[in-house]
Amino acid sequence: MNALVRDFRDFFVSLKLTVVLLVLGMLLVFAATLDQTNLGIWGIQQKWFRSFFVLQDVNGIPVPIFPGGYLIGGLLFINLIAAHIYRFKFVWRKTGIFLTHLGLILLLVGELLSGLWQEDFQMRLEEGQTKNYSESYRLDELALVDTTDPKFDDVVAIPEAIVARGEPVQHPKLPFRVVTKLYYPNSVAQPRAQVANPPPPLADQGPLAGRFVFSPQPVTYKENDRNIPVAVVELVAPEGTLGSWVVTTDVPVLRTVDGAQQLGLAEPLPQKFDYAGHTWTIALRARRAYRPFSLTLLKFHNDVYAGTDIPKNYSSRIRLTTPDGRDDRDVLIYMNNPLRYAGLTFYQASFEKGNDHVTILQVVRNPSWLLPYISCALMALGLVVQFGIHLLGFIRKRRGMAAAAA
Amino acid sequence: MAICRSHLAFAALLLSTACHKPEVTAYRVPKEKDSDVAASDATATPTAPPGMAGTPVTTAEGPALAWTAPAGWMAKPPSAMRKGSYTIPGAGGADADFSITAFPGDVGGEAANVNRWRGQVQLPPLAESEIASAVARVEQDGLNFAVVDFASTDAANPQRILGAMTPFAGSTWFFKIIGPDVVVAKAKPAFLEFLKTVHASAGSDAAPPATSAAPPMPPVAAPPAGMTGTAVPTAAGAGLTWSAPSSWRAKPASAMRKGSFDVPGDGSETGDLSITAFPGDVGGELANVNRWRGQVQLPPVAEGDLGSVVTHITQNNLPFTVVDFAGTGANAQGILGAMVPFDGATWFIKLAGPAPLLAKQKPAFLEFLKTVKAP
Repeated sequence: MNALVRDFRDFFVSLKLTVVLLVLGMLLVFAATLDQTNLGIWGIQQKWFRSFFVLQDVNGIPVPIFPGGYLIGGLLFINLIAAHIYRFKFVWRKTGIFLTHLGLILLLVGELLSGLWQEDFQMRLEEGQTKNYSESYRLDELALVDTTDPKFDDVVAIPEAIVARGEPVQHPKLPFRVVTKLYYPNSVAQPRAQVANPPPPLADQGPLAGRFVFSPQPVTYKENDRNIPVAVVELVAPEGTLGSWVVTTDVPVLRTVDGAQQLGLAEPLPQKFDYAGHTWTIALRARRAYRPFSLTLLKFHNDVYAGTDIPKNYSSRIRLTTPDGRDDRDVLIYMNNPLRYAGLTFYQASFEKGNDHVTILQVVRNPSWLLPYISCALMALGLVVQFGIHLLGFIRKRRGMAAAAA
Repeated sequence: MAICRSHLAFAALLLSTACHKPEVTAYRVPKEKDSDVAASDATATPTAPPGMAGTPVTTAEGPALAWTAPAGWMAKPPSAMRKGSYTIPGAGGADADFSITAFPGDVGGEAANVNRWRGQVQLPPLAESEIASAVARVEQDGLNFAVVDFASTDAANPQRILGAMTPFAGSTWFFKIIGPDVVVAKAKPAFLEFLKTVHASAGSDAAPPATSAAPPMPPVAAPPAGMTGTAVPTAAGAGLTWSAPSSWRAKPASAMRKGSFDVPGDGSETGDLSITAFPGDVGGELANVNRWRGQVQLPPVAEGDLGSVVTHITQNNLPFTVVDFAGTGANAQGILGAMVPFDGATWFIKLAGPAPLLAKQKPAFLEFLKTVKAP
């Protein structure tokens, strides 16, 4: 082994590296916790933990300011494995330490896999409503739906990221090309009549066309803020353009109440159009993931502590059905008692203020959800074993001393 | 070098699995049952800055009206906004929507509501003087209906709105049919007959309207959160006072405006000065600065850059945030704005107009701010 390789090995094996990484890890958690006030939990996870370097915008240039969670965790992982290969020698009286370390390795791997595999969705159900899809919290999609068939909808879903790129989309299921003419990841709309020198309207179809001016807004990552993406999409058939539509996840609405024009946002209705004997709808909506089963909300219970608005207990009685009839049963979902079905976990997440008939379930797909439990069990077992070995040794030693004294 | 290489390989593995490539997907799903959520006005008109959403519209409480709908009209479940809701079937699935709503007060008056309805079928507003000729009066059981019938001029997709409004017990009730021209025109005789059946609900003071013929009316589930149109209450309570330069022409204040002036320039151009107030921080300084920037087509600024586009002036103990934004281009418009928190509300003083006019009026605007004070 030449000197350079040995240096490398010694670097990764060294206990100093472990200590430095642990300190960096603590600093990372501390800084990220502070940054949570700016970005919210999801934002800091992406920026601080699920990255190799923490990037900070300095005059528009992303500059690495701190090693990220993947780098620190990855190095710790290598450090621990390398230490086991080169430094630790397996002896029976250290079984506990080995088990604990194995648990720690599994915990690191589990977190990595969660970061890569976990998908978060939500499902909003009104009492009596049945849904066989859940919706993404953060990702949107442009949905073009052929609604001609009386029984089925044929959906072509274009992820927002593709719409944002602005490249024309030609899909075999679509008789037209989809061209993005404008896209803002976050926007604010104003009535065209109230804008002093509005730009010419980009859209000419649908109820929103020409009535609003959309201005870009900075993208927000805060937990309680929503981005309102807007796009102007042109559909181009072989014989020419079909027109352009404004699509957004939150439609601006103007009402006159008490003589004042009042502005608000509403859930969009899909905008309809006909082409070549088919009826289509176009809408920008939360990204949907369809499931091979459906859930019906039978009853939502929301108990509060008497005299307050503080939730005490909330639960949803759900009917779970599959089209093949194999499953048709009632399930009760409440705090800390999720439904696990078909690789998905349905947690009771929230409810709608002022509406006792709506439940909001968090839907999580995490194939590695068992790993943290296994690793914690291993670590606990390892500590118990290690402590037990020491205890036995101590008792044996004391007996030996007592025997010698006698 | 084996370890180094394996480390690189590990990193590469992480990187490669970390990138999910978005792809267009196509699939077939069974049709969703229509939840029939009333949304006649959802396609209506404009928007608020995000900070403004959140307060529900108060619908009228108290004494109610009752009615008998024609047999052919299909009742839909009423929503929180609607006292009554029907589908009027037309040929080939082209249905019209009939809604009955009620709101406290005069809801802006007859002219404003007539013009709101005209807007819903893409017609220009009428002047106050023209309203009278557009409205038919129907008196029925002590109720004075103002009935209108407007058809859009859009040849491709002709829409028609048939509406009636009547004051009743301190509220205004609206009966509106909107839909394809042919369907609504055909429904007109039935609508006029329908109006004759409208009467004060028997006996009750506060009971929701419920008669044998009308479907159950009490508001059921609240509309989806954050979804219905949201009212923007203006700030109540003691206001700020000011004195405007004599060259500014005062305009009548509206429900939204606490003060309103025309600011004349050299030629025929005028700037528009408005003073408004809303409870709370209305989304905060950044949101409002960016809203104003958007109004003159300037890109939004980040929080960190806010300091470079605003000036802070404290006068008469009022901490003003002052901005001066000019758009670009030949016909550039600008905004001279000031916002100040006062008494739990945020007051906005905005002078909008051609950029050169604003440049000239800026000293007067700043002088004007000095006159603004707490009562």
